[in-house]
Amino acid sequence: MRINKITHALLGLLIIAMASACNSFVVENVDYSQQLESVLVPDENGNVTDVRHGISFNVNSFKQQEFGESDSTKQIREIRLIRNADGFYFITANQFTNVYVMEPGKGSLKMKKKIKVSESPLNEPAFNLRSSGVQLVMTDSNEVLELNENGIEETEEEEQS
Amino acid sequence: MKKALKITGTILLIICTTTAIFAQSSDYEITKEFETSYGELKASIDNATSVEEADSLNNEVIKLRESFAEHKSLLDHALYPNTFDDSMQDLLAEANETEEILMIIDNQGDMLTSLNKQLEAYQKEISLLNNETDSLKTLIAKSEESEQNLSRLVEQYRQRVEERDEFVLNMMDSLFVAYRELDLDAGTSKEITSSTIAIQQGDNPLEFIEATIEENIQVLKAGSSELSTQDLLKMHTIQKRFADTWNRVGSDLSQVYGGNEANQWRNKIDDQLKDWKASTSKNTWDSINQTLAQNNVDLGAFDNNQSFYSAIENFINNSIENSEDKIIAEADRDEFNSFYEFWNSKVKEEWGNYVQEGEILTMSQISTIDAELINWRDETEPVSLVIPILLGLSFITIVGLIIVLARKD
Repeated sequence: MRINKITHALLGLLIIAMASACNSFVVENVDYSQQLESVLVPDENGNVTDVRHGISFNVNSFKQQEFGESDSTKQIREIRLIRNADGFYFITANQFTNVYVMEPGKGSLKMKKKIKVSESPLNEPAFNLRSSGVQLVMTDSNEVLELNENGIEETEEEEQS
Repeated sequence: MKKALKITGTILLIICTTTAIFAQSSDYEITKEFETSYGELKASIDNATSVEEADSLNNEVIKLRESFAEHKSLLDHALYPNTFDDSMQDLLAEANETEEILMIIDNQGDMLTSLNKQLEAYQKEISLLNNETDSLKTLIAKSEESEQNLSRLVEQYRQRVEERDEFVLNMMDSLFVAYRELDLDAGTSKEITSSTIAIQQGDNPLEFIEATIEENIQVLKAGSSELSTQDLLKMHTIQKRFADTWNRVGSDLSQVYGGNEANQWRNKIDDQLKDWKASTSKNTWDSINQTLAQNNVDLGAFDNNQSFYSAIENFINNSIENSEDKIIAEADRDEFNSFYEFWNSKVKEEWGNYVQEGEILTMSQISTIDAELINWRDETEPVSLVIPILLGLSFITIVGLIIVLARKD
């Protein structure tokens, strides 16, 4: 009787394990990296579209995040984004002081990290993708920062919001 | 020049910006710079107008490829679905093609220049030919004008020859008659000038005669080829009448109207008449000879009325001799017909009056020639062979009968 119960329990576990194995089909070692940053110009509503990489979103959230609700004088002329191998988007723009690490979700981009990269507004920043990860090039100071989804790799000068 | 500056500017821009971009190491800027340089170089290639320019751009393409070769991987991603190598290959091929096309155009330009030079030479030649044509047209116009003047002169002569020459002849006859009616033994020039035949002052008949003869001589000199044989025969006749009349009255007229220069007038007009006669005679016989040639009749040489008659006589007699004893004389018949046509339609019908009056041929000579022509015609008539054949047949029949009768016996 007891044996029967154990047997039934094992069979039940086996069935559950098989069913769960079928539902969690996962492909490993996917490289989401985007070799060249995208420089997108928002339309009058703040929408940008990267046709080549298949993403479209509104930049007004970044504007609010960067400049706050009150400052309406600041405008985003163009926004720069690049995606690393793990699929995180790195987004910044002229006059920003931060790089936003965004994780794609179901119809959304969720901020993973807000990386403070400069005390003064950036002037013509640019992203490069290297084997080590994402680089932020600050053309005015010719300074290069190595970034990952958690922040600046070599320096600890990052700030989480 | 403007284009060359633009290209140089493009090249400098490529070099400077490339250096700057490499310093700041932005992949995006490198990509953009490559695209900009590529686009400008392509536009320059498309607009190149000389082989040198295309050659320079060709080198610039190679330099561009070398400059961005280290970013090949990046540019392969940026230019997707194209690749860096494909893009550069396309641009290089375009530059080469442009250079080749411009070389062809350059060669064609040389050919065009050569053709233009040839065309220019032809145009000059045509211009020269046109000038020559104009000169020739002018000459032709002058010649035509001259011919028209000559024709007008001949036409005037034809109209005036009978009227004026007849008038002069009549005048000479009248003067002669009036002169004879005067008592020359008792008369003086004063009596004549006061007579009914007095000539108005300035109307010296000797001058009038001289002018008339001179005019005839000039007409013959200027346009003898325009005159027909009939015209010349007419002139020949008039000249003869002139000469006859002058021979009768010339001496007396010279005495009466020549004054102290009577002998000079006489000799002068005698000489003029000789010239006129010689000129008329030569032209008339030449013209008759030409007419004979046109009618396919060859009489041989003649240059006066006696030799003309002798030539006709000999021609007919020789032709008759040639035709004798010929059974078939088709060629002789043609020769006879040609001469017969000439004789009747030209000599007797068209020229008849002048031939007699001008004593080209006398009536007796014409009659003789008519008679000889009848003989000639008979000689050229086709001979009938019917009678000889009938006689032959009869002879054979008789001989046959004799043989048959002899065998029966």
